[in-house]
Amino acid sequence: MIRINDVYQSYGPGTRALKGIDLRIDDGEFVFIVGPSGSGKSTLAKLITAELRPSEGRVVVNDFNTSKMKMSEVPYLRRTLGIVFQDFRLIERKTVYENVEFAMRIVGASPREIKRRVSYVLDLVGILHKARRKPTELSGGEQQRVAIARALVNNPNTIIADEPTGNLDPDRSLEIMMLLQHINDLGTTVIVVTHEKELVNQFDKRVVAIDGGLIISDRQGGYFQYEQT
Amino acid sequence: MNRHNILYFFREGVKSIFSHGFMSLASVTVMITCLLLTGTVLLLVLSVNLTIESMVTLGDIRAYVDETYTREEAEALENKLRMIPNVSGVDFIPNDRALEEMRDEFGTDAWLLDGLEYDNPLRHSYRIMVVDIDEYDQTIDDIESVPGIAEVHSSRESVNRLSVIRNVLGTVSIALVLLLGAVAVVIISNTIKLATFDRREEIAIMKMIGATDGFIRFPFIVESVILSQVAALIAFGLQWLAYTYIVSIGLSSIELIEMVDFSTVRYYFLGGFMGIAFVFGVLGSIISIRKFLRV
Ligand SMILES: Nc1ncnc2c1ncn2[C@@H]1O[C@H](COP(=O)(O)OP(=O)(O)OP(=O)(O)O)[C@@H](O)[C@H]1O
Ligand SMILES: [Mg+2]
Repeated sequence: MIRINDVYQSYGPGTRALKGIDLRIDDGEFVFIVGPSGSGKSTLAKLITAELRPSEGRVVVNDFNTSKMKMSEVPYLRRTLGIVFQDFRLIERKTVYENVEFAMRIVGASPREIKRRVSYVLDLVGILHKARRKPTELSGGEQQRVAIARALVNNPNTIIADEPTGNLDPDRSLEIMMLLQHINDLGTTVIVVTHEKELVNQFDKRVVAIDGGLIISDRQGGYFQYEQT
Repeated sequence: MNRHNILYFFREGVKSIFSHGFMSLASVTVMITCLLLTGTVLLLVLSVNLTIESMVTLGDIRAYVDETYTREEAEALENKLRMIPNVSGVDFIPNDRALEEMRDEFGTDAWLLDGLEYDNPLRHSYRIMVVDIDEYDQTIDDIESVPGIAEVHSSRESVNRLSVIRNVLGTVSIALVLLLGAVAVVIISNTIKLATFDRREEIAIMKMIGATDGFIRFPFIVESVILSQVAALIAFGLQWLAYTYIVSIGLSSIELIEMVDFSTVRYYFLGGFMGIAFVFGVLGSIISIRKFLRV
């Protein structure tokens, strides 16, 4: 569960990326965060992942209050999240399997758990047959599946993806979105930051629209509604 | 942190060493040089110390009793001498024994001394041993001030000179440890900095998927520990070989200096090298990783 109250975020004097954001995302929701370039979408995502701490206001993510918590608690907050990036961020010298396995190793999982769980998530994202490949041998869509498998492997409460389809063609993008929807159906909260309206419009989901650092619309279904307001 | 991770840390540490092999080699070489220099000076200090000790503990102090004293009066001085602080042993040598010793020294010429036993011109004396060489000077002064002691012979001059040499060398070795330690820390921290730079993207990924700083740091600490311990072992081997060689070519035959037997100090050297290298290695790696964890 995510609670954002009256948050302002500035990058140094005179650059305000967020100007008073209030947002609540409950467990099990699927939320698109949309808006034009420079509107503050990534800034909002970084507040949730504790890459940034709010200049003003309060951000609470899965019971972690990011404005108050210690540096040493950040890893534990991130273990409740699965973070997915536009550029996949896989470790190139490791195989697909090892990339996913590594995420479990970090949290100190036992080899038995690792074996079971890694195969399960690789199968879930449909990439198990390429488990022994290196990321460089995969297409962009396949790499993003691996990244999603890695995000999922520690059973996080929330998946947060900033432009997960930014590097993919429309068909691949749709597949990834459908995969995220499937993951959401299995009970995980999913937050997707994007500016691809065609894509958003193919799903009937909650859409939070940001412009100029403010939330200008927050409702069920469709990117077009944000353009009309 | 379970045992599977320990294997992982070790593997990653070793891989990292080879991923920038030249820098690893350089840091090992520098560390070996530092350890060898320090070790050599230390061996010198130990040898000089040994020389001083053997000079003094052999009982080089000879205190002669006033010639007007009778044997009983001379023997009575023993208690006073024993009460002087820092005196470990007192050995009374009556003049008849001194004469015998002289006879032994004269060997075939001993007949020259015939007849002297009826009117012994030698004085009664004491051979005195001390505990602490640093108090040597004071102890001799104390002996001289005992009433009835006419004269004291000792190797005071040589001992003092050697003490100065030893103290200078001691200071030099401490300075060397600090200076070369700083050099070692810098080179190790640069090696590890390079290692973290090689892995900066991976470090960023690890932070995003919830790795603790300790988990991220550990392979690099393992790397520096491996480097430092390899350097310590090689330095120890070289030190042993070089020193044994120097002793064997007869530097020890120069009467003046008694050289330490390496086998009596080898475990201290091994432990010392490994300990020092360990501390500097870990220090160097911690210094360099700190910055990289601010993500
Ligand atoms: N590290 C930074 N330093 C200074 N200004 C920044 C920084 N990151 C973002 N900004 C500014 O903050 C504002 C919001 O940026 P943000 O990245 O959140 O936008 P965005 O909605 O994600 O845009 P895009 O769709 O292009 O990714 C922009 O004006 C941007 O220039
Ligand atoms: Mg962005």
